[in-house]
Amino acid sequence: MLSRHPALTFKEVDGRVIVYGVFEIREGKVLHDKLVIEVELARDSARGIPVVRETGGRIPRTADRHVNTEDGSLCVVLPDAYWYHHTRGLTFADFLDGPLRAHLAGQLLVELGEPWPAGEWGHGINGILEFYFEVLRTKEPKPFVGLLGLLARPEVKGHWACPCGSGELLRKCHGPRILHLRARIPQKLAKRALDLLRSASTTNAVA
Amino acid sequence: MTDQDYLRKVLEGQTLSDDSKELKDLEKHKKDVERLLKRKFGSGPQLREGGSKAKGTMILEAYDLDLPYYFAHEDESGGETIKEIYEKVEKALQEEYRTASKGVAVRLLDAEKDTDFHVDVIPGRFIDGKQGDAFLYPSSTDKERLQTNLTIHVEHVRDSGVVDAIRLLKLWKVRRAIGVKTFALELLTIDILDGKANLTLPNQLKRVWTEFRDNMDTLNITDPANSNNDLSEMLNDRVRKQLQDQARQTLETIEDGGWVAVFGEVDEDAAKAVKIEALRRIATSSPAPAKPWSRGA
Repeated sequence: MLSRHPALTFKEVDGRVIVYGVFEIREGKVLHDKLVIEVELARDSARGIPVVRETGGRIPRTADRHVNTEDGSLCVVLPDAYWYHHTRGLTFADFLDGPLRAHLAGQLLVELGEPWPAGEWGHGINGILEFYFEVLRTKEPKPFVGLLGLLARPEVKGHWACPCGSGELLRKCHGPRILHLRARIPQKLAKRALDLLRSASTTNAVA
Repeated sequence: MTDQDYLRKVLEGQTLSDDSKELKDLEKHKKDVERLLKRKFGSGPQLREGGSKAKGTMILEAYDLDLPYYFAHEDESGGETIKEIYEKVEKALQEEYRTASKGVAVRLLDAEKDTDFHVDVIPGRFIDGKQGDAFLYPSSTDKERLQTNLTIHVEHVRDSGVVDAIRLLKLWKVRRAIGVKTFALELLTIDILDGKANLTLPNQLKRVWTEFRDNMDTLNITDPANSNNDLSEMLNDRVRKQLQDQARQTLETIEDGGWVAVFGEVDEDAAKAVKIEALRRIATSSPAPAKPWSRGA
């Protein structure tokens, strides 16, 4: 698994598997840079999102550098977006070579004064909402909350009225889009987004 | 900037990125040569990559692509002797290129303009079915053949742990027009730095130059693929003296003017631009480039 990362090794601490060492940012044989990291494998599933920390002290522990200040973990991905793009999850090796490698290259670009090449989500609930605005393709408060609610429900029926306000049945309006998203985004994440939205009384923010 | 950082910057400026024009041109010539030779000799012999690209020692100021083209040991489609193979491969290449003999290799030149494509095709034949040792034709000597092993050569350099020092010494050789073969310089460097890969780059280079200055007469090299190969001509008296003189001068230069006096000012902007481009490619290489987030508001 770690053959492509010979400077990484692993240890077990209190039942947690932690991979640590030097992560080399390579392109073929060319070594561009390296960072010292620690990656804790997800405990819930083999394909869950690992928790990553940069332990060499090079990345400032600030939200602006997408580091969770309370535990120093890197916000490599927005979980909702991660599951949307990788419906079945990624193996640990693919996580290292895909999202993590790209994220660390992005961190090094920011260190050099460059912007994040693929953009960045807002912090906290703002980023979560940006994602759902994008995939639900609306920012209108009422339809947005209604459509997000469909992602958070245990089930949806095609004969329901579409919450977008078109007056159509769901199956003839946003139904296919909702089914597409429900197949990708875990219901608990959509529910979390909805709960955050409600608890923050963000109706104004959404508008 | 520390001396170590400075030398790293020098190396960055000498790095050919995967999408550089130079590497793309080499890749295109490789494909053209592959097509040409396949048409002539079928799909038996395989064109491989050797030299600095395989060893990881390529530098921008003096790069080329070695393409070993070996026939199986029982395959006589290229000729019965290794000399015939060399000549037939050279003739085949001349259908589209102008060529020049360069030791065991055939160098490719533009058929019309005076352009060197930095590509060397190395015809050869495996000595047995193991796809390791091979015979090459040393066109510039009166010997009939030379036995060598590409894989051993590549691994000897690539896995030496001192590739960065080798790249800097190649740059030093090129800039000072030192007439030592790169292969000989690589072998000397690996030998001198054996067990010293943990030294910083400045200390590795100083170590090599100090050896050249103080012990040049006793230094010798052995072909790691075939200890019977006589490499003494690669370190003849003229080459030894040149290495010794230049090493002495270089060590004095470092004393007087520091490392910048040896390798010159680094174009930090250029080195930075190369790194930024590479990181951008890496950061967006995933089919679904990840945007970072953070839990805190």
